Amino acid sequence: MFEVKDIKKSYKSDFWSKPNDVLTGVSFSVEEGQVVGFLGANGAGKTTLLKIMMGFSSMDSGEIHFFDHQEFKSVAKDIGYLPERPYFYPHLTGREMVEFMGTLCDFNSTAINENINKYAKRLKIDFALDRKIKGYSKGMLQRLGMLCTLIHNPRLIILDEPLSGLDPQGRKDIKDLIVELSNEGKTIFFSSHIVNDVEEVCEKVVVLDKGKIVYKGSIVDLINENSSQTVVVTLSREVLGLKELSLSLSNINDKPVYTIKESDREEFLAIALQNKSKVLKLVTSTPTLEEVVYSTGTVS
Amino acid sequence: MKSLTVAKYTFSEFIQSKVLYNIFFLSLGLLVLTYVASEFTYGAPNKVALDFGLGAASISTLLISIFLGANLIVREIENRTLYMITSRPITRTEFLLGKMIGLIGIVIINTLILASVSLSLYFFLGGEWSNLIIFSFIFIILEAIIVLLVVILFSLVTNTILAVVNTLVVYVSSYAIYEVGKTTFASNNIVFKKMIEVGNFILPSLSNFNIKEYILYEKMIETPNLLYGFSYGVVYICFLLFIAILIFNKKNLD
Repeated sequence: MFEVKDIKKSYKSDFWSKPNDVLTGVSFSVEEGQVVGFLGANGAGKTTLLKIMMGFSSMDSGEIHFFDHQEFKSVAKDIGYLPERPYFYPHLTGREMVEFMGTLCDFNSTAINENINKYAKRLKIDFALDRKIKGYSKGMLQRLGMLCTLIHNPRLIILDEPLSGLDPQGRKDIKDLIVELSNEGKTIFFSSHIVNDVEEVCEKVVVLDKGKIVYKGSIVDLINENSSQTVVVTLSREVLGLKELSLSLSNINDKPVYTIKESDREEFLAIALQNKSKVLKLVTSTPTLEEVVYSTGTVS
Repeated sequence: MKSLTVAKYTFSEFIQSKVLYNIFFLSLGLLVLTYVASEFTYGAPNKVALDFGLGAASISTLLISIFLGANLIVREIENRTLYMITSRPITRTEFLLGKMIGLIGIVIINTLILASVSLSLYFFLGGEWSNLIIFSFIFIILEAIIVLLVVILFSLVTNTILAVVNTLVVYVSSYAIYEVGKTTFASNNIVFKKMIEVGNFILPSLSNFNIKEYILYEKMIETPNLLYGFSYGVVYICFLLFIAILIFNKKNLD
């Protein structure tokens, strides 16, 4: 669907200063029909890369191809892009703005109205479309932005932090819509610094850290490759020798709670039972994507 | 065609932003001021009406061009509205042209409203028709477009405040060079004469568009001179437009 090859970008804060590398050889590709998350902390270079992809900003070197080796502008009709914290002409109404965006993609008013009817209610912005944009809240602007992004039925949807500024219900609505769009066969590339959001809607992830790709691939593989499962065991009483086997020991309601490695489970339970301590609770803990990506620093 | 779509919504945005309210109040002020001034004028109250009308149209189009023009593109980048628009199948050239056409529409509406008010008063007070009147309003629009392009050019390479200041400097210098060039000192001093020639070459010669005194004092102005002024305006606009497009196409929209 699109391919990013060895993108390099550096900025100079002023004429005399040393260039600061923002992107250092970023390469990845996204296949048709995939929902891919683009993860990275603030300042990792996500928005810079998206701006380069959309042609807003130049790159020092590298190549970007959309749909079988084509330039962005020649296929812009098939791409929907939502920038971070979108803002629109405050004195126009929401409907006028959507019509403007649709007309630029050569859509006639019938087609535009069809898509307004299809998505406006779904995005819960239909009630405000005839109001001036200056009266919109942050969340409403985000919803309007999403409507503008989808108004021309794009095949590829690129979203830069689409959930920022939204309340929990708004976040759920947009996430559900992303899943629906994916089920319709659209390809979605979704940038965020909130790992949970990406984990909920994406099957694949590209992780960017300080301008470098540190992981690209399936979320499940990422978790499996970068985590060792642990088991949390609550016993009726403390047993000598178990502390040495465990990763941590805490007390909850006067009962010892041991965290142990999955590989040590059999030995741990045998010692506990030999010493007549009852196993009150045993939980296998699987880390979340967030724990893998951020708790361990960077992904190896 | 895409430029016209951008122009339509730019024009609509400006209209709904109540910029025309200012023009309405300016027209009202013009009416009152002309009435008061004509009461103190003996012999030619109609000329006062035309003088004030041309002056108001000239100043207001200048202010609209400078202050709305300085933010025309910069605000789009700062507010990220440009990202939504230029990620569609539209080139940067089409976008820039569209934004400019939209604002030029406002300049033309402003000039037409003020021209109608001042000409109504002029004819009401016994003024006579002259073809130069039409040319004077066309020249006001041409001057405003040149100023608009200058401020857009500065805004693309500096910031809004510097763009406004630099454009005002260009505007004042252009007229100052023309006035200084008419003095005997300047015409007798070779170095000074050369400097004025260079200044005239670099800066737009806005004095070409000022034919107010020819109308007010009923002086003759040859048709070729009028056509020269018109052609100069069109060529200069094309030149500035070319540079603005060149810069905008290369600009990083960060």
